Formats: sequence, structure tokens, C-alpha cells
Amino acid sequence: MDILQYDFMRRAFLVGLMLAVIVPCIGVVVVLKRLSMLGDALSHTSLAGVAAGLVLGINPIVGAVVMCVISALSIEAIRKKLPKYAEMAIAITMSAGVGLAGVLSGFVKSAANFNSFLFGSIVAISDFEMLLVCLISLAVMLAFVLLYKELFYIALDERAARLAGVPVRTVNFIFTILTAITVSVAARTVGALIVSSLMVLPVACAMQVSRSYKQTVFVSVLFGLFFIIGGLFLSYYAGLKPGGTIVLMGVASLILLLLGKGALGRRA
Amino acid sequence: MSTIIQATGLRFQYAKEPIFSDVSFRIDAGDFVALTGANGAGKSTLLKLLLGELAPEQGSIQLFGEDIARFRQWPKVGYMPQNGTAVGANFPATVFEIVMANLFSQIGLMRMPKQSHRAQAMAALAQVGMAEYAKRPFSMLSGGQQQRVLLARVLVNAPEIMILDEPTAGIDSKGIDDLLCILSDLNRKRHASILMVTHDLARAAQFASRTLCLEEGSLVELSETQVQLELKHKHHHDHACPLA
Repeated sequence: MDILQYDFMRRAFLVGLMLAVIVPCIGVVVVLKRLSMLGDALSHTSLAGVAAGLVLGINPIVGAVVMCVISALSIEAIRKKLPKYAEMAIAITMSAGVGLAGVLSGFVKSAANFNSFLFGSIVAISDFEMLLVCLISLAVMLAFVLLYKELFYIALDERAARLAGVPVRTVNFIFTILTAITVSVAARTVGALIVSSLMVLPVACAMQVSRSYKQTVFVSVLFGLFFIIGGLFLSYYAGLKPGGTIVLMGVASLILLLLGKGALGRRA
Repeated sequence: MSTIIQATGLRFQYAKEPIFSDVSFRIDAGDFVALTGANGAGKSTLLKLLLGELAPEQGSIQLFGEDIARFRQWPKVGYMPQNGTAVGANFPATVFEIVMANLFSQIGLMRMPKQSHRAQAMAALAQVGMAEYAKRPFSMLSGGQQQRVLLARVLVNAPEIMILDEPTAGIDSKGIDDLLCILSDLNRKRHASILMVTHDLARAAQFASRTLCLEEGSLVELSETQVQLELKHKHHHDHACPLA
């Protein structure tokens, strides 16, 4: 395959495969906790971290990770204060992050560098970034496997989970950090504006065909892999932007699944 | 007989609006207590106090002889929430996964369930007659079946007391009878202790050993005769607790 003769494409595939596994894993819990917009808010606030990194001369991904963690913890704190208005916490944090990103971007000398974070640059990944994505992905996968049943119960019924002895606060805190880190590294590669789609679309597709939580997790990862690998192939051969192509493949798949399910439902 | 819940002189208010004051009661091992009262009388609030989610302004609660503020053995308390079926309504989980989740305290943090845990979950489902539905998605069951699964989720931990918040709400007549029969069996044959909030005094009175009524800020225990009078009165006037 001539697509794999290029070093940058091999890197893109490796990073893509890692993200295709961890983003839907985080996404399953985010979606089932009814916090689908969380990924959007975090990826937007990560831009403030990117801008701060570029202004201060530190690695923008490190800036994004720090800003994402702060934002995620702020969302959790506001959500606790106003439990019935969880979506408000997301809107407030997103507005603050976008506002800060807007102001800081005025001080960034290289606009092109900043803009590459908006739509990502999966085919322009440095050695450091690849190493970072690999390490973070392994850490997220390990944490997700170890906390599988705890995350399931909290997503299903937080109150019952607490009564059953699950350390809900600690697990929520760890999950918040995992989400923030995942979103910030994924934002660098597929783009801050579309990372939340990658978090939600594989899960939305999986929920159309799965009968259990375990199945939903596995099928979400399979859809994630399909969107990223398919999107990279399509973008390479059709000369399209990879980030956008990956997300549009996800949207097209979801539409087809919904249409197919509707047709089957009418026939039954 | 050992005391499981001892509440003394409880007082609680929401936004300076008193809900109840000087509420005291005791639940012993083996009791099947029905807690009734009109909408807004504070039944769910009382349960939140018993579950440690709210703190009383005055009074004390002891669970298994320990002050609730220091109580940590929550797996001993099985809780079935009001509208519990709504929680899992669109959740992609099987009946088995939902019951297994409550075995957390036995499996342990960051550990995988063993075969014995799976057998326990199946046994809990068998107790409520839902073993054959183990692999079915929870969201595809009827309201009555979902409530039975949620009861199995409580039972899987072998709790020493079950606190059930309107378990019969929103299910059909047969579903209610099935559920109450299971609860009655658990109480009589296995001496399970139950505190059940219900609006359905007529049905609850057939199974419960004691009836508590929360009305206008006070809690009273109804004798069997009072329950019968109350049911007659309710039939004529549809009013909650005239004897309170």
C-alpha cells in the first residue's frame, strides 16, 4: 500500500489507532452520564492552553493538557454546586475557555500554528507528540480497564453506586482527569473543533446495535477504528482534510444506521 | 430482636418551610414497615435522611447502633429508588450487568468479578423470577419486570435492611401483586427487614407488619384497626391519614 510508504502516514495511523481506542472508551461514559457536550467544552478550552503555550514558549500540548484538567475540574465543581443544571457548568466553562483562547490568540505570533489546532494535524505529528499520545493512551486504557465496573455503575446510577461502596468522588476525579488528558491530545491530532464528535459518534452508532454495556464499549471502539482508518484512507486518496473526513464518516455511518434501523422497525 | 434503624426527634425543613418535626420511630430486624402519607408529606425526604444524603436539623439517626454520621457499612442497606426504572430506561445494559454492579463491595475496587459473584447475581435474579431474562437489555423489559430486576439488584448484596421508595409506582396491577408477593415471601421466609414507601395502603396493609403514616409534619404508627378505618375513610373521602 503506497499510503504506508510515508513516515508521516505511518505515524498518523499509529496515533489514529491509539485515539480510536481511548476516545470512544471515555466517550461511552461521557455519553451515558449525559455529558455529551463535555468533550466540546474541554476541546474548546484546550485552545486557551494551546495559545498560552505558544505565547509562553512551552509545548502547546502541555498547555492544552493543563488547561483541560483545570476546566474539567471546574465543570465538576460547578456541577456539584448546581446538580440539576449540569449543562450550565459546561456552557460556563466553555465560554470562559473560548474567551481566554480568543484573547491569548491575539498575542500568538504564528497564526498558522494556532490554526492547526482548530482542525488538527494528524499527518504532521512530531516524535514527542507521538510518544505522548502512546503513553497517555496506554495509561487511559489501563485506567479504563481497572475502573470498568466502577465507571459503569456511576454512569448508570451514581447514588446506588455510592451506597454500594464505590468511591464515587475519587473515581469521578480520576475520570475527569482522564477525559481532560484524552481530549487535549486528541484535539491536537484530529482538531479541537471536532474532537467531541469522535467522542460521541462511535458511541451513538454502537448504541444502535448493542444490547449490553460491554458490547457498547467494544462496538464503540470498532466504530472508532473504522472512522479513523477509513477517514485516513479516504482523505489520502481523495485529497481531503483528515480530521473533517474522519468525523464526516462517523456522521454518515450514524445516518445510515438510523435509516437502516428505521426500515427494519417498519418491516417488523 | 436487634434494632436496625432508630430515629429520634427528627426535624427537617426546606428553605425555611418545615417538612416535619419531632419524628421518632424504630425498625427492628424482621419488620416489614409500610410508610404512607400524602404527596409532599416528606416521605422521600425522610428516606434521604436515612440514607445520609441529607442531615436533620435536630434529632439523631442510628443505623445498626451507630450514629449515621459515622456509619460506613452502606452495603448492609439495600436501597431501591423512586422511579428507578427511569435511571436505566435508555441505558445500554443487560439485566445481569445491572445486578452485578451492586456486588461492588464484595468484588472490590479495581478487581474483576469471579465465577462465584456471577452465581450470586443469577441467584438474586432467580429469587425474583427473572433469571431467564439475565441477557436481555434492561430497557426492553416491562415496568413490573424492571422493578423486579431492581429488587434483585438490592437482594444480591444480601442487605440487612431494604429501603424501597415507592417500588410499585407506575407498574400494572399484576406487576404490583407479583412484587409485593416476593417482598412478603422474603420477609416471612428469610426474615428480611423492609421499609417500603407506598401510596397503596390497601395492598401494603395485606403484607406489612407495621404501618407508619407521615402527615402534616408528624409520624404516627397505625394499628391494624386504624388501618382498616383509614381504608374505609379513604374509600369515602380519599383523604390520607385522618387518625394522625
